[in-house]
Amino acid sequence: MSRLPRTSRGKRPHFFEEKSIDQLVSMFLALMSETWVLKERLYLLERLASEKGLLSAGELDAFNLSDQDKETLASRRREFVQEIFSSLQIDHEDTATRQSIIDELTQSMRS
Amino acid sequence: MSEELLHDLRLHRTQEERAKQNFVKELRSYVLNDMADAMRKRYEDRIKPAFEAITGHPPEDGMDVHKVMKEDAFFKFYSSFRYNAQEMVWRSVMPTLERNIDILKERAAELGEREIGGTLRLDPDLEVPRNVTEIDVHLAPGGYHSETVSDDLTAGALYDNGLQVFSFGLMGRNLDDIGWSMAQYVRNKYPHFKPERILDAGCGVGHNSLPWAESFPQAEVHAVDVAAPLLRYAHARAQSLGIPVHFAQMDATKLQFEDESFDLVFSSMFLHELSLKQIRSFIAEARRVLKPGGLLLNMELPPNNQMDPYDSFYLDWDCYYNNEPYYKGFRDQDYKELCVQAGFDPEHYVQFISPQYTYMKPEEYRAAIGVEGAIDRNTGRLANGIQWFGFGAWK
Repeated sequence: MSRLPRTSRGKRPHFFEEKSIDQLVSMFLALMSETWVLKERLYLLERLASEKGLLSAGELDAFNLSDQDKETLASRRREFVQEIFSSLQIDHEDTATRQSIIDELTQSMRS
Repeated sequence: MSEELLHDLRLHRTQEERAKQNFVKELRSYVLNDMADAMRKRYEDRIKPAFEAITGHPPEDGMDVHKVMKEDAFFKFYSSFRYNAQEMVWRSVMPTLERNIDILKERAAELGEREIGGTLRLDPDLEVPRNVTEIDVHLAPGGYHSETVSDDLTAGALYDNGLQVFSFGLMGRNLDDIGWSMAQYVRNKYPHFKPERILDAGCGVGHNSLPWAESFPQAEVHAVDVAAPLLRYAHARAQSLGIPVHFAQMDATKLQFEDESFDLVFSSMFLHELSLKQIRSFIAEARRVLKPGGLLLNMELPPNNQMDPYDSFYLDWDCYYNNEPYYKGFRDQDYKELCVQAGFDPEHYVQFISPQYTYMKPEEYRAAIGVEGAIDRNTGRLANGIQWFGFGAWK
């Protein structure tokens, strides 16, 4: 199926005087999330590797990647960077029109 | 806390997806427990005294508190973390859905064939109200009504999987603690009341509809919502869990049921998404379809007029920052007055607080509801120690 939309309609609020701080917070949290994913994955891998006796000391550092491995990592790195910076890509034009509808509905509630 | 959804619409998640979802749960728990406690203390120790020193009086209501808190650096971090976490709830479950949507549709079709006794009735001609079509409530991208493929149940899956992350273990193993707590409150508090026909209005994916059928097995349970994708998912979920419920696509402000045909009309976390006009229409409709002696029961957020200004401010965050524009307008109402305006007798108004049924032993629950609790900072506030609030009236 096609990709689901990642942003909701309506104006995204900012909490800090300088909007870019809000964007930095988004990036920081996205980065934190990715870091956790890594830590959890590494923990699992290390547990599995040691249980199965697959890794010995120094073996990771001595490992040579194939060209295909290098390409895979490069592509994942690009995705990683794009995801962390995704808060910079919000479509302001569309959200502004949506906000006017929300404002109108909010107003009608008060009347 | 259960890590997985406990029914056959559960989707396979990669280890990476699970890790990401675990992080969002942890982040929300940190914001809504640790940061929330620290923020309240900061308010009591510094901000409230400063407000009093400047104005000569304590904050009068939640809006007074909001005005000063908005300037506070800690509130800014709390809010920006919480807002981002809300967006991350949905984003963390979307890749799982995108990979599995065809499997999900097939499974739902299979589950529909099971002889459980539940039904699904959709109304393609129903005009879905604009508060649903135009607002991405809870910042859920696309809202809860959107359909892009035939027999679409993506929005239902998004909500179920999202709520599992959102609630970080506070809404029950099946995300149904609200329904269980309300149904068991009624069963234990009014042992002579034996509803034969029950309606859940604005049922979503039916999390809180099923506990009524389980708590009152002799009753016929109906559940309505305006969003077809939620109802398709609700029906398949109920079939999987083996609980017979009749789901129908219907606007709760224009119920297509006969007068005096239900013993109990229930709603949960529903009214605060409606305009005041819609709330009034729904309560009047609920009264119309109730039999004499029947009960209207709304599980909701507690009203501002019975809360401390800080607690009002704290709960109203969602109105300002979570795409729930009607939230505060509803909470500013006198709930008893809403019932009375719809024709209920003021003498027959009820309101109560219930602890979380599915986290207790039944005897502990019975003992707890024997003591009438007052609304406090744990009422309706999603954090450890939460208690649910309910109100309504007997016809």
